[in-house]
Amino acid sequence: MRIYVGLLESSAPNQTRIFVAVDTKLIDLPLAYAGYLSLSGDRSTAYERASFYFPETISAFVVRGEQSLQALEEVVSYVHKIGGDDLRGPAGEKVAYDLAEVRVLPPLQNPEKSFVIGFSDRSRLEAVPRAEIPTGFYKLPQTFVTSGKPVIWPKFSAEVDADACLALVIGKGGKRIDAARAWDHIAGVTLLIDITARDINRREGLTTNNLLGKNFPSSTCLGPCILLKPTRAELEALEVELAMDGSIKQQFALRDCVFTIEQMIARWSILGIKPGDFLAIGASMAIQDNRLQNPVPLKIGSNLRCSSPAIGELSHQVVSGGGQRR
Amino acid sequence: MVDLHTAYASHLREVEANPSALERAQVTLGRDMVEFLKRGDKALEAARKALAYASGNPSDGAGAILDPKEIRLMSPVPRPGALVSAGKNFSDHVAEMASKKGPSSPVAFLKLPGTVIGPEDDIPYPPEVKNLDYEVELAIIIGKACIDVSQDNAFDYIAGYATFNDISASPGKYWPRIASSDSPRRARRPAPITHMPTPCP
Repeated sequence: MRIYVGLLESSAPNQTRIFVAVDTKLIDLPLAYAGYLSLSGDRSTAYERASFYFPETISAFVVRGEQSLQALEEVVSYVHKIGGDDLRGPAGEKVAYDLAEVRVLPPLQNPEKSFVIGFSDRSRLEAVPRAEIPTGFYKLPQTFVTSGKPVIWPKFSAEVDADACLALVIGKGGKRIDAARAWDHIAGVTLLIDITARDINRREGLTTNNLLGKNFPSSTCLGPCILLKPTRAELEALEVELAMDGSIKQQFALRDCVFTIEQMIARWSILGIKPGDFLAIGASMAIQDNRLQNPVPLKIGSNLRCSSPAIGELSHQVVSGGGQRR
Repeated sequence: MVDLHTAYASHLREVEANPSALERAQVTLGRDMVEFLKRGDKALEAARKALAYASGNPSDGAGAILDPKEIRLMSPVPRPGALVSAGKNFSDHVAEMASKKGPSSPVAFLKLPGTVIGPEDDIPYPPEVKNLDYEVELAIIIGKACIDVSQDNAFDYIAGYATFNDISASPGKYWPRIASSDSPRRARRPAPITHMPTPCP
C-alpha cells in the first residue's frame, strides 16, 4: 500500500493529512476511517478515534504499529466495497481526491536520522571495492523536496549530479540491532534522489566530511509516497531507474547493492534509529557489469525522473538559482 | 535565575494592568528558545522588562526568582535544524595537524541535531569506541532564517553564543575501513560515532 502525506486546499499551513492510494484516488485516511467507524455505531468519537490511528504524519503513523496497519486494511477494504466516488466522512465530507487536488509533501518531514549510504570518492576505485562497513552521510531534513518541485542549482557549484536511491523507512526503533532482526525494523520504502555539488563534495571529501556538497536547498528529492511493508522478495525486486531528459541513465535493484539490508541496519543502528528515520542506498552503490554506476551529471533545464513502478515517480526540473556563479 | 514567563506576567499584571498577563507573556516570549528567537526584538524587549521587574521586586510572591539549584538546565537549543561545526579554524590547531595547512574558506562538518544534550547531562561512553575525545567550541546561534549571507551582513543574523563540546571518536581509532580488492585503505569520512546520541553538550 502506498501512503502519502499532504495538504488540502482547505488545510491550515501545518495541518498535514495522510492518504492512501486506491486505484487513481488518494483517500483521506482519518476522514475515511471516521466514516467507516460511524457506520458501526459510535459517531460521537469517530473523528477522535480515526485521528489516533491516522495522525498528521507518516512518522507518527508508523509509530502506531500493528493497530494502525490493521485500521488501514479496514479502510482499504471499505473503500473497495463502497467505491471512491460514494465515499464520505461522517458528516458527508469529501474523502477521495485526485492526485492533483492534494499538495503532496515529502513523506518524511523531520527525521532525526536521514542517511545515505556511500563511499568517499577516494574509495570509489577502478574495480568494485569489497567494502566491509557501509559508511554514509547525513541529509538535512530542510533539504527535502518532493515530486514536482524544482531542483535549484546551487550557485556555488559548477558541477552538480544526481544519484537514484531507495530509502528504507524505519518503523520500529532500536539500538545496536542484530542483523538477524533487521527486517523487523523496516516499515516501508520510498525513492530518493541524492543531488550532489560534486566539485564542492570532492573538496570536502579531502577534509572527511559531507556538508555543503550534499546539503543545499532541494538537494534531497524524496517521495512521492511510502510503499508500506513490501515483502522481502518484493523489496529486493524493486527496479529503480533514473532518467534525464527521457533517456535512462541509472538502473538498479537492492539485490545488486554492495551492502545488504542487514548490514545497513546493523551498522547504523549503533546510533539508535527511530520510527520515521531512513537509510538510503543508491545506484552508485549497485554493481552493474561488474562495476559501480556513476552519478548522473546535470545541466540547468534538465528534466530528472526517478521511478519505480510499485512506488511511483519523482519528477523534477533543474533550474538556475539566479545570481552570479562562483 | 529569573523565570521570564512568570516575571513578565507579573510585570504585565502589576505595571501594565493587563488582565490576561500569563497568556500574553506566553505569546510574547514564546514557549521555547527557538520561538523566543523567532519573535526577535519584541521578545527581547519583554525579557528586559521582565528582568527589570524582577530586580525591582525581589520578594514578589509569584516566585519568578529561583535558585539555580532548583533548575535542571537543558540545552538552550535542544533540536537545532542544522548543526554545523567548523573545523581547522585555529592556526595553532592547524599546525598540530598533519597537513600543516589551513583552509582558504571555512570547512565544516555536520553534527546530527538529535545529538544535543544539556550542560549537566552525562555522556555515555559508547562501547564501540576506544578513544573518546572532546573539543571546546563556540556555538554561534542563528536568530533569523537566511541564505547566501554576505560577510558584511553576517552579524545581522546572529542571535547569541553558547559553549559547545564536540565529543568524537579520535580519527584512526574508529574510522571505518574499506578494503579495495588488493590493498586496504581507510575511508575518509567521519565515522558514525560523531553522531552517537548525546555527544554534543
